[in-house]
Amino acid sequence: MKEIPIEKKEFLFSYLLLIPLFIMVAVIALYPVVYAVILSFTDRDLFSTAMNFIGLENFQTLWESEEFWESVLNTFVYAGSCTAFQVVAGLVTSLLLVNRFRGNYYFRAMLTFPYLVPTIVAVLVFQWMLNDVFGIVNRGLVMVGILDEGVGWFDDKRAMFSVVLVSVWRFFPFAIMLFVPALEAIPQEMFEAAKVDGASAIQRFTHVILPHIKEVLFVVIVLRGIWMFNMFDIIWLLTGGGPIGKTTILPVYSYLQAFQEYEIGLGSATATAGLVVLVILMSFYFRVRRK
Amino acid sequence: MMTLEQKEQIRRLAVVLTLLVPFAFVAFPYFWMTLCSFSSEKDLFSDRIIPLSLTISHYQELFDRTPFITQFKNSVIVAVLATIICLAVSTLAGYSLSRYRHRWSFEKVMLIIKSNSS
Repeated sequence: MKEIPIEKKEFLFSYLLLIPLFIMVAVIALYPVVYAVILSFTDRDLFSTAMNFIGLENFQTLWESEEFWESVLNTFVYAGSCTAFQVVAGLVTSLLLVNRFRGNYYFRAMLTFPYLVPTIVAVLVFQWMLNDVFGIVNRGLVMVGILDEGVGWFDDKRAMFSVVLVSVWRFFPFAIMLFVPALEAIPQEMFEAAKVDGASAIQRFTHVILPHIKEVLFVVIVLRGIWMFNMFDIIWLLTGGGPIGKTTILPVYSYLQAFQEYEIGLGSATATAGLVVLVILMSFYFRVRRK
Repeated sequence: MMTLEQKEQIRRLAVVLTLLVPFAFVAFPYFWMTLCSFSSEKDLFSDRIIPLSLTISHYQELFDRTPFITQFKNSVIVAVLATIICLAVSTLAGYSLSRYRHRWSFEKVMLIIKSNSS
């Protein structure tokens, strides 16, 4: 038997280790995506297995549908504001957390809590707190005198705000978890040097901190952006996309069409449209990354 | 004139006091959830903010009227199995990605992150 050279052996072994991962990704990520893209070109509905290819008709329907464009707008409003608030809140909190003081450890532990609860728990608590009649938020604001009477936090004007609030609450600890190590990795001498040179607090932030955490900041913005763009559970459980579609973002719109209008094809087309937007954003991410 | 140390102490105090804002934002829902779980229905659906009396009847109900134990067991099973599978697959892949030079290895890592997201 011919001896396999050691490099080749190692090469094969390195791929052998990756096989389980590839299988898993193929089964739970790739297959559904490919299947959804195929379905988006068909008129498949929920009750029959009959399936005809109808070309781009689904996409044309979407293009002409006002609801679709409204949900696209909602998606960008939701993902944009969630990402912005999470990054800002996470960064400010992290800047405070890297200071040395007693009890620092407990603050860090407590501040990661929202990331650990199940979504349904977070949603139920907030639904109860924001309840228009019995909610503590309305009562508290009336008692302090900010509001004259309770407002509906899930009515058409405020639903988006409430959804963003819960999402920021739940996910800004993720930013903290990435920012704190990045901030701690900045050499202390940099600050001392900046101080000696008479840099103000703002200058220290823009010239010392920002260049050091640029990479992490970028990763956080992109990852949070993608995840908020794909968010389904918080919105679905909190408002169900309502009222009158004010909080319907693309994943919710896709679900509504597939499982409430029973138009699997149309729902898949919506999902595919969202995927295309994400792929464009991701390719932008990779381009900047490679530089 | 303040000494440097006093200045530092005041700065620390300011940091801790400011941190109380995000802390309250994070902790209040938990506090409220716990408080409500011990309040009677009468207090929950009244004008009162602080409950009159505390009760554990909701917890009794949880065990008496809902299949809480079964649900808890299900959660444990799902969590343990998911963790084991995830660890097994990702330690192998992680070793390979870090130990050997691959083309596109960063992209592969991103693929992993992406596929596990949301």
